[in-house]
Amino acid sequence: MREILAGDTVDQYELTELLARSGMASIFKAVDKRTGAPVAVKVPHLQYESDVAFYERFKREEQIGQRLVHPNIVRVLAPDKKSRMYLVMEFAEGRSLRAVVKAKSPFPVEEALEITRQICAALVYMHAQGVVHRDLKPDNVLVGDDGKVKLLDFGIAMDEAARRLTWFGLSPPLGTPDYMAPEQIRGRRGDVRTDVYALGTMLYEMITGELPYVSGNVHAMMRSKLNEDPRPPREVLPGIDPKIEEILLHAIERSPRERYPTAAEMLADLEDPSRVVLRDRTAPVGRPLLARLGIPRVVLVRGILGLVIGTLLLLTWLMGSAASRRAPQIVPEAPRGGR
Amino acid sequence: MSLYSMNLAWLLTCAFLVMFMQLGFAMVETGFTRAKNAVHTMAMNLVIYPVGIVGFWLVGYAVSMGGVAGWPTLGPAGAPHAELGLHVGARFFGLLGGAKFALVDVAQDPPNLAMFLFSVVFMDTAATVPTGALAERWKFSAFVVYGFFMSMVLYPLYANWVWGGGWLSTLGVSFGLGHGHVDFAGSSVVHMTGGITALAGAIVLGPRIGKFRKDGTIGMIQGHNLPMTVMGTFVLAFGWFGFNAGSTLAASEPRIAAVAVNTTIASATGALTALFYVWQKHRRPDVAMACNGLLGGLVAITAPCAFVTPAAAGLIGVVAGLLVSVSVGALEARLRIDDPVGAIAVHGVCGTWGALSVGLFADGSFGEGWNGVAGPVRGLLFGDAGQLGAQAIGVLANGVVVFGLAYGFFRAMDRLIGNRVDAEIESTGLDDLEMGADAYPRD
Repeated sequence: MREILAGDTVDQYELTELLARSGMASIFKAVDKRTGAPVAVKVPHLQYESDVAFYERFKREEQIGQRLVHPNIVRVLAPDKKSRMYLVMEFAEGRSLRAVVKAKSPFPVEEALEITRQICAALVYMHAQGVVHRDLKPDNVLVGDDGKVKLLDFGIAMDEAARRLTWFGLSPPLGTPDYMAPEQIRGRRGDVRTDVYALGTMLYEMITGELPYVSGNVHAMMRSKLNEDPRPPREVLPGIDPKIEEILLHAIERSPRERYPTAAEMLADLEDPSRVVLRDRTAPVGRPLLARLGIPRVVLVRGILGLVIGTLLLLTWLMGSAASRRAPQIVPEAPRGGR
Repeated sequence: MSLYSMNLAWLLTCAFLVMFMQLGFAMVETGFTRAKNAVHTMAMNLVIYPVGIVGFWLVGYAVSMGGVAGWPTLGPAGAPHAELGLHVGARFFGLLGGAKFALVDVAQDPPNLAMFLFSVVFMDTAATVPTGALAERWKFSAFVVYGFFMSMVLYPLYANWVWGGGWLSTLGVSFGLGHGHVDFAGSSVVHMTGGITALAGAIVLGPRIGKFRKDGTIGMIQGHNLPMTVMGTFVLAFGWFGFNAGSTLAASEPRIAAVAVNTTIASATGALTALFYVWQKHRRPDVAMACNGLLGGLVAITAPCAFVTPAAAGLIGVVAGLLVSVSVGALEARLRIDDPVGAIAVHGVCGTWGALSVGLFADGSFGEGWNGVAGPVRGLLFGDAGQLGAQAIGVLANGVVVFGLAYGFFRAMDRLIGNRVDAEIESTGLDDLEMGADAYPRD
C-alpha cells in the first residue's frame, strides 16, 4: 500500500483533485464512478493506518456522520465496499462562511439571519441526535452559491486536542478562540449551549462586521470573555433592531445558564424576531431565591450579624454564670496575681 | 521534675513560638507592599529583631520588669528589684523599673532570664507593627533609631505600668477599680502600643505618593504577593498560641486549655466576619481582609483569653472582624491616613477593643487574687463595673502617653535626620535607591 495521490482510484471513487491536507489526513475531490456524482474523500495518511486508536475514532466519525441526515449538514456516504480506511462525503459547491464574511461584511441583516437560521436548524437536528459540535466557526460552514448552508466537520473527531481538517485547509493550531464559549476557555467540554454561543458570535460578526470581543492579544481577549460583558451591538451598529440585538446578547451570555437553553429556542426567535421579549440587561437575570424573597441585602446582612452577636452574647452570659459558679480553682499552687 | 522546671520549659517554648511570629509579620507586611519595596520591608522586619533584642537587653527589660520581685510559677523570688514612682499620700504610682539593667543582677537567675526571653519577643512583636504601617517610605536610618527608642523606652514604659507593678496594675489596690488594668497577654501592652505608635508615625510621615490624589480620590496601591501574606497570617496564628498560652507563665496551670481554645475561636470568627463584611459590601470575598480579620480576632482575644468562655471569645472575634473592616476604610477615607498593611486597624483598634472586652466579658472563673486584689476577675456583664473602668483608664493612658511620646519622637526625628526617603527614591522603589538591592531581579 502506498500513499494515495490525486489521480488514483480507490474502490468506486476516482480522486481528481487535492482539496486540503493536514498532518493526519488529506481531503480529495472525487467522482463516484457508479453514479457520476462528485464526492469528497478523506483519506488518513499511511502511518495512521495501523493506529488502532485512530482507526476507532475514524470509524466512529463515519458512523455518527452516517447517522446525521439533514439538508444543512454535509452527508457522510456509505461506500459499497471499502478496501482501505477512508471517509466519503457528499461534495457541496460553495465557499466557507469565513470567506463570505471577509468578502462582504457587514451583511444585510436578513441575509445574516437566513444563514444563521440554517445553521441553527442543523444544530437542532444534531443535538436531537445527541451530537454536539463544540467547534462551530465560520471555517466549518459552507455557503453554496444558491444560498444553501451546510455544516462540516461536526464535532465527532473525538480527540479534542487534535487539529481539525476542514475543506478549506487546516484550522489554526490553537483553534481560534474567537468563537469559543467561556466555559470552554475554562477547560470544560461544553454542551449544546456551547454551540449556541458560537452561533451567536457568528451572527454578531455577520451583522456588525466585528466580533463581540476584540483585542490584539489572544489571552487578553479570552480573559475579557470570561470577565466582561460583550460590546453592545448598538455601539458597533447604531441602528440595529433591539429585538435582533436581544437575540445576539441572549445567545452570547457569558453564563451558559442564561443563554438559550436549546438551539430550538434560538431558532424560534430567529424565525420570528417580533416575538422576542426585550430584557433589562442591567439587572441580573434569573435571580437566586434569596434575592427573590425581596429582603434588602442590608437588612439581611444586619439581621444575620445581629443574630450571631445576640446568640454569642446569650451564650457568654449562660456559660459565664455557669463557669463562675464552679469557680474553685483546680490547682492551688497555680499563679495568682499579675505577671 | 520540679514544677519550676516544667514551667520554665513551658515559658521558653512559648517564647520560641512568639519569636517565630517575626517571620509571620515579615511575610504579611512584605506581601502587602509592592515588589519594588520588598527588600526594604523585609529588611525592617529583620533588623527590628536584633535592634530590639539589644535595646531591650540593655535597658528595656530593666524599665519594664525591673520592679518585679519574682514570679511564683517560675521559681523563688530573690533577685534585686526596684520600682521607681511617685508617692501621693498613701498611694504609690509605679512609673518604671530601676533594676536588672543589661541583666547584670539577674545573670544567674533562671526565672528572670526566661522572663527576659519571653518579654523581648513580646516587645519585638509590638516594635514590628509600625514597620508595616510606615512601609514603602520610611528612611532606614530613622527606622533603626526608632527600633532602639521602642525597645528601650516606649514599650517598656507601658509594659511596666501593666505587667511590671506600675500604676495601671495597682488601680485595683489603690482605687478599688476591679483588679486594676488586666491584660492577660498584651492586647493593650503589645498590640495597642504597636498600633498607636504606628498611627503617630503614619501621621508624621504622611501618605505614600499616589495614595491620596489631588482630586480627592484614593489610589488603590495593591500589594505584590497575597499568597505570602496568607502564609504569614498562618505563621502568626501559630505563634499566637505561644503568645497567649505562654502568658500563664505556667504549664501547671490548667487554664492553658481554655486560653488556646479561645485564641483559636476568636481568630476564626474574626476572619469570617471580615470576609463576609467585605463580601457583602464589595461583592468579592477579599482574602487580604480575611487575613486582617483573623489577625484582628487574635489581637482582640489576647487580653481576655484566660478570663472568658469560648462563646465570649467568638463574640470578641466577631466584633474585632467588624472593627478591622470598618476602620481600615475609615482610616483611609475619613482620616486620610495611609497604612499599607492595615496595622493600625488590626493592632491599634482591635488591641483597644480586646483590652476593653476584659472589662465586659470576664466571667469570674479565673484570676483569683490578680494584681493583689481578692476574688476572680469579673467584667461588667458579671457584676464588676469597676473592672471596665480600669480597662478604660489603661486604654486611655496608652492612647495619650504612647501616642504623645511616639508623636514627639517622630517629630524630633523629622528634624534630626528626617523620617521619609526622597520622593525620587519612593517613586523608583526603596529597594533600588535606599537598599541597593532588588528582591526579584529579572536576570
